Amino acid sequence: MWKRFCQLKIVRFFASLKLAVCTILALVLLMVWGTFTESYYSTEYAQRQVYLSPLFIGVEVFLFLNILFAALVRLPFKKRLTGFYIIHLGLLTILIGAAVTAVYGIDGSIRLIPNDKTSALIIKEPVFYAFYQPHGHLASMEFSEKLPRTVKPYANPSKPWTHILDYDVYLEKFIPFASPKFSWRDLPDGQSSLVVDLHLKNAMADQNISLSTLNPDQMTQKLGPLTLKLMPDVTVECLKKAIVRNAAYLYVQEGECLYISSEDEQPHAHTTGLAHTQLISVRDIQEAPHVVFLAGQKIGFGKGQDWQFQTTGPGLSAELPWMGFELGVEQWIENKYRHTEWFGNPPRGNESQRHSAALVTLKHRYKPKDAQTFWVDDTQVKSVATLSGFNFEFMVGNRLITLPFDLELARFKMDTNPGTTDPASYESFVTIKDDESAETTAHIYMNHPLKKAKYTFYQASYFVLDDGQTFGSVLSVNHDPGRWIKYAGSLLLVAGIVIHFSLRSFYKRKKFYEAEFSQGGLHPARAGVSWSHG
Amino acid sequence: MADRVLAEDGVCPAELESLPVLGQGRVKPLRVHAKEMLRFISGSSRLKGLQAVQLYCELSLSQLFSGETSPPKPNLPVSHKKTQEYLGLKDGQKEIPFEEARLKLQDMRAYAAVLEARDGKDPFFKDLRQVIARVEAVESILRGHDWKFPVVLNPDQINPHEPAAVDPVNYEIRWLSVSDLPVIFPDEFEQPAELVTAIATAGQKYAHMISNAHHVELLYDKISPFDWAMAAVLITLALSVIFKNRRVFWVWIGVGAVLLLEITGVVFRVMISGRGPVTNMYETVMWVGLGGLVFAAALALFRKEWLYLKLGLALNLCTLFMMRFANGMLDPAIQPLVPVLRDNFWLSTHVTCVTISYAAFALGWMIANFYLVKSAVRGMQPAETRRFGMLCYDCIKIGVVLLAAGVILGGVWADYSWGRFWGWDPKETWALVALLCYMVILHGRYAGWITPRRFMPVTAFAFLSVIMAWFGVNYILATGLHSYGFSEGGAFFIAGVTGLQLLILVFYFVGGKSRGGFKTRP
Repeated sequence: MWKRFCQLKIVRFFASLKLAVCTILALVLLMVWGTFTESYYSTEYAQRQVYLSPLFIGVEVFLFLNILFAALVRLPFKKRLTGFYIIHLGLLTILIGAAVTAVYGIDGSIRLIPNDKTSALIIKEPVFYAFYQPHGHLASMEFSEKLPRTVKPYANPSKPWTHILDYDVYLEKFIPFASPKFSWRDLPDGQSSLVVDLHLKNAMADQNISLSTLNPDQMTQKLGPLTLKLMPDVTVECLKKAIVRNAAYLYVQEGECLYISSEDEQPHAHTTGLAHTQLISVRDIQEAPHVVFLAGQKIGFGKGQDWQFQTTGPGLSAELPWMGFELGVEQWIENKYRHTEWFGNPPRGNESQRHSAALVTLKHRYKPKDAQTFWVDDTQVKSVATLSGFNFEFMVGNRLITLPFDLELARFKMDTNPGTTDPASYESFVTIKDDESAETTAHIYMNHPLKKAKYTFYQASYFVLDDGQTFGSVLSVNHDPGRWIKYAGSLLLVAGIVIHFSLRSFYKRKKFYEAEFSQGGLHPARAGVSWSHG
Repeated sequence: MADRVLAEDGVCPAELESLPVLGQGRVKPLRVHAKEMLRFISGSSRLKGLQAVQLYCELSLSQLFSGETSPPKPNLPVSHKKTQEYLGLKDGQKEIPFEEARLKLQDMRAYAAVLEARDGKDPFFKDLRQVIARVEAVESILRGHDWKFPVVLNPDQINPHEPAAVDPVNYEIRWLSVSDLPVIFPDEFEQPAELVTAIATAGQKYAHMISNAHHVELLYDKISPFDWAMAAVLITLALSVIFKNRRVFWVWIGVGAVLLLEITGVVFRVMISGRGPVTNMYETVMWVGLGGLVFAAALALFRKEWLYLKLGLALNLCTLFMMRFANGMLDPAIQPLVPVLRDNFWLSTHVTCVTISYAAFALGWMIANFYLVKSAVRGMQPAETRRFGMLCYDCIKIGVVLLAAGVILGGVWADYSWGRFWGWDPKETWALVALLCYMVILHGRYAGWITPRRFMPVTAFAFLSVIMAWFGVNYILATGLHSYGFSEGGAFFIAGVTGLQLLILVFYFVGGKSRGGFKTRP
């Protein structure tokens, strides 16, 4: 029965040494390709391109079957093959452990900012998110759908990918490694805007800045002590007068200036989107060390009572009186908005400069005219407000797992080697909050991870917050149910190799003597037997 | 000669070399620090006949006591073509005088920032950054910032000049730089000699309270056991070649001396660094030489095969040559460890395990190449081919066991430190590639496809996977392939070894007396 099984063609194929050599060689080639891909592109790119690819997993499955059948056909048990059995059993166990880890394991990270509770575990798998507010609900609903973790752009515009409420979602294109391409498009009639691209540089620094009235957040930019503000044309004259009048606030609307002398009479900030309307604190402008001020095609800079104004425009530049800064205007664009498209651009060792972006169409199932196509990317949340009155927001991001407890970074400590600024150790002091009442603390540092629930938290790295001083900590979070299987397999493997070689030399020596005494000579084709030691 | 004034006056006497200094994050003797700094700055540890300590000392004092001395300033090496062009060097000129480079420092910094923003792995950027670092290092020495010497004070004591009686238990070590002294004592030091004396006094007085490692390191640097080991290997190898297989006793004495010297070197490095010597490329090369010779000696004893000894010595000589002459690639300096590598049992174990497995493979590789050359030159009898096969197979067996264990221990280490057993990291992947290459050979040999005659070239070729895992990951993959060609010494070394190996293989298959032998069975 067993013999007949072993004689089966398929069994003999999978048990063959030829297949073993071919599979191992294939694995070697793929691994070499993987390491070179990683060096040329990036770690995540190589993971997706090679190690997570169906081809690679297929070869691993082949290897598993190969090892399994190679051992099976050599049953029933023969004493001289003890090492061989143990080696192959060990290898199978390791591969099973690896599969368990791949399927049930969790390998993510958590970013901790001082005094900020978080329970979000980040897993490096791209996910499409939608947030919306159904009729009659106050709470916003969240919808998420996994995106393919591939290298190449993925497109499937013909079939609905998923659906949200009554909308079918078409994934027109998904670009895992994308760069933006900007173009200018006209605003609808009656709307106005101004976008100014600036270039600020001196001997030490060199930076591009963009100011825009399209987004209230982009009307002011702070660069260290320097503040850049975009203002309507009349502001220049108004500001001069306001300083003379000693007004506290300046309120500019539709070419008119309004001066408010007292701090108490502060009017409500009035930002109506696209109009050149702004409230300016004159005190701020006077007290801030360096305020640069672009109004119409004029640039003003100064501090306190001391102000200068110059005409400026595309291609012109002004020398600022601080630290040798030169401010050049690169583009001056009126009544247009910046349209972003994404194109595939594999990372060349600069993965952090790449984004993932998806071109998505939402189409109402019963009202096909109610449809929109737009880009969603991982740089910001995209609002789409015009779908049947629904407030939709979309983004592409990483998969998140919510931990059953909160973590808070109490303190982050970095030691340096004496007399240098090279970091010697990173340490995180973390507070763990199970619920309102329970609170424990932990000290996580190199080789001293925190074990909590099924997760283990390791000190991985750190980052600097926008203020340039505060440190945040990155912990890598791990759950590996396959760990002990892999360890058991490893032990079997090493023990097996040792037994194998010692047994083989014992048996070979025996055979060698038998061969010598029987004068049979050595047959070269049975190489394993013929190379024995006397 | 004006620039020798200080030395002749004895301002910077040779005895200064034993003083403890703080540099690159650890305490070491001035002799070692001065050598390391000068080697970093100029590529050589002496200049115009001046010893490192003297030159370093003179440079440190030259701005504080300007006018009294003007020691020679080093030239800074510039290795990349584009950097040479950028700095306006003439064709073939590979170094720039310090003064000239200093004038361009601001420009270089700004340009390096632009280059880095474009591509942080660009070798041109890296080389430019290196030139900047060299200029900054010289500046730091000239300003007297670099030489940091210890004073021991009672806690809260500010003035180091009144250490009437330092509390022997409760004291504090502070590191002052040479430039601090004239600031603390404005009118104290009028002559450079006075300042040097003050530093020397402080150093000698407090040395015992700081560490003993720097005494050990001074001794290590003076003895330089690996240089003596090289002499011993050369003599022993010569003896073994001259005597052929006679007077083996003397060869054994030589091998014993080499092992003793190298083990002394290893022990020194352990005592100095306080950790296992397994953390940089220099030390892995050291282990491979030592491990290869130990395996060779053991196998020679066990198998009564003296060829092992000769080839073990040859391998050892290769590694010693690399340690001595390839300092662009292998940095002999002992450096503090990065956090992830500190205090880690699994780290030391798995690196040692993998490294000595490479030693076994390297010994096998020597045997294989010896066979290839020999058989190409004068042909081989089948029996001889079988004998060489056996010798080589023994090495591979040892290597496979150790490498398998090492790869697994590496997984255990990664799991312990990062929480993942395997992550397709290039170093671990390439160690597995090397293991699998040898597994292919073992399986092919078992199946009979790899006959004794084919075994040798295949084994020699397989060692290239070890070279890649050992050096290539660091010198080719880690530098980033997208950069424009490989400019660093390590890449040239790898290309050299690979080219030589391929040449030998071509010679064996095409040129030598083994022509046609590939097809005939022995």
